[in-house]
Amino acid sequence: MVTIAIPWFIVLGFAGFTVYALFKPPLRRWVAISIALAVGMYMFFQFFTTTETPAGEYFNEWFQRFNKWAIIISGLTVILAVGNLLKIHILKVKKLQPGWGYSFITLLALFTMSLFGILGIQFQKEGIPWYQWTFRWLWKTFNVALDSSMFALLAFFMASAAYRAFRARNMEASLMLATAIIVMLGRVPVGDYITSAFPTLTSWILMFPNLAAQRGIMMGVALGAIATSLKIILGIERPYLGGAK
Amino acid sequence: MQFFERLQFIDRRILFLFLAAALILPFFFPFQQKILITQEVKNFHRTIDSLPEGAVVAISFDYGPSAMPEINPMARAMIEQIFQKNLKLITYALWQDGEPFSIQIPEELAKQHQKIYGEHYVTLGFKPGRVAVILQMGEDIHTAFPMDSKGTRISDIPLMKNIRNYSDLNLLIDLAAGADPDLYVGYAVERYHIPFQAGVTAVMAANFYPYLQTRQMKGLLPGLKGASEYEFMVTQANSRQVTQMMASQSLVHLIMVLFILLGNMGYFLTKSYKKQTQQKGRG
Repeated sequence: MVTIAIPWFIVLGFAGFTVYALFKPPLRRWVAISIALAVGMYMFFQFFTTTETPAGEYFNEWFQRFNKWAIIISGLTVILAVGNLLKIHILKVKKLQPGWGYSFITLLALFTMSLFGILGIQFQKEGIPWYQWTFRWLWKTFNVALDSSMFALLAFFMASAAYRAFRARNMEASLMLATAIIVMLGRVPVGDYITSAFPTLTSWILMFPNLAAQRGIMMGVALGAIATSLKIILGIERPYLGGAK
Repeated sequence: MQFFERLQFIDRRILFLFLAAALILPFFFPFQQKILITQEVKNFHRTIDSLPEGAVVAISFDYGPSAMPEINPMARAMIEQIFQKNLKLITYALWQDGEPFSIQIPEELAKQHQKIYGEHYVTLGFKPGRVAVILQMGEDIHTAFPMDSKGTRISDIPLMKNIRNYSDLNLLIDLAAGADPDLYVGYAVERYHIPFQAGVTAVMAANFYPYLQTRQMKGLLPGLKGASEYEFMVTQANSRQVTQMMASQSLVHLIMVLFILLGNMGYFLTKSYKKQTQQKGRG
């Protein structure tokens, strides 16, 4: 996949650079908008094609090509993200700004994990597995423990917030409170010991009122996504140009 | 009066103390609980159970260590059932944090069931691009994942030789901490018509019930409760790990409900006391 994509990237990169160098800003923008329009419309229309016709097969071939590019571009965004992270934290450490110690730990973690991660794959192939072991050990000891602890703390804050916020002040709040209590007890075995109505009611709440509300939200979100996508494809909204008009 | 008012504003540290005790104590003093199996979990189990021997199941690990206590038990029970039924397994991750789980769990269970890597199961590792990967897998898995997690070309792996895209898979499962099942329903189920089901965290579960009614999802494992029910179905016994976890969850929910009721009791009693005092003042 990479071997197919590299020549395309070189060609497109060169074309992009030429456009950037030769044309003035308004024209540059129009070139970018045209590419977004063409690719957006293509990805939209290919959804309605079939591979049973030669034209459909051709459509599908390009659809696959665009997919591969998207996967590669997603991988390349890591470079951008790491570059940005380095820029911010190196500056903070260099100027000894408040909290520079955290920045130093961030940089240390980034370099250590990257080093053992990248070298681990390479050395494992050559029969030296300890880099990979170290990477796994670091991940298990630090990443798993820290990430789990952070998420576990949420339970305490959620409990505290629920205790303070759930007050039957009016009709709507009372309904929400009653639903929350039924679902909280219905989703654990102890609820069934209190009354078998809790699990039955919980299933009903999830399968009917919840489902109706969720479907409404989903339709709303889908309509919003269609509108936003059309605005981007047609060049009305241009977040890919850094918000430029 | 002050006592009722205080019920509304109990120090959060007291609540935290109760919660911590409820979470930890069941691990030292375990107690058995009756596990009620819900329909969505029964359907999940039945979908895998009805697959013929040699059928291929792909599992996407889209969660990180934060969701590990809820989703890892599901993953273990699922792979246990897959190996017990002599099905073939493909694992991969669309979240970078899910990649280690997608490798470790099948490897551990493969040893117990004497399954051979490359023949009975394959781990494809992590690939960025989410929607693009889901779509590309529908066209050609070999271009979406040219190498497995060990760096071997997947065209050289016996299990993957006859698997090109979703039409060669019998079932797709997403273990997710986020909204990834939405993407699978939209891009894999609707476009490529592959049977699909998911195991998700409790906070996300309510979002996916519409897909159960429309049969776009065959089954659903919602949170730790779903994991415990499913594990119970697979192992036919109360597993110590999940039962203990469910005991903690039962106690925590009970304590939260009690505190919420106390808060409301304080609110109403304070309100009625104030009303009475005002009326007396007027009188």
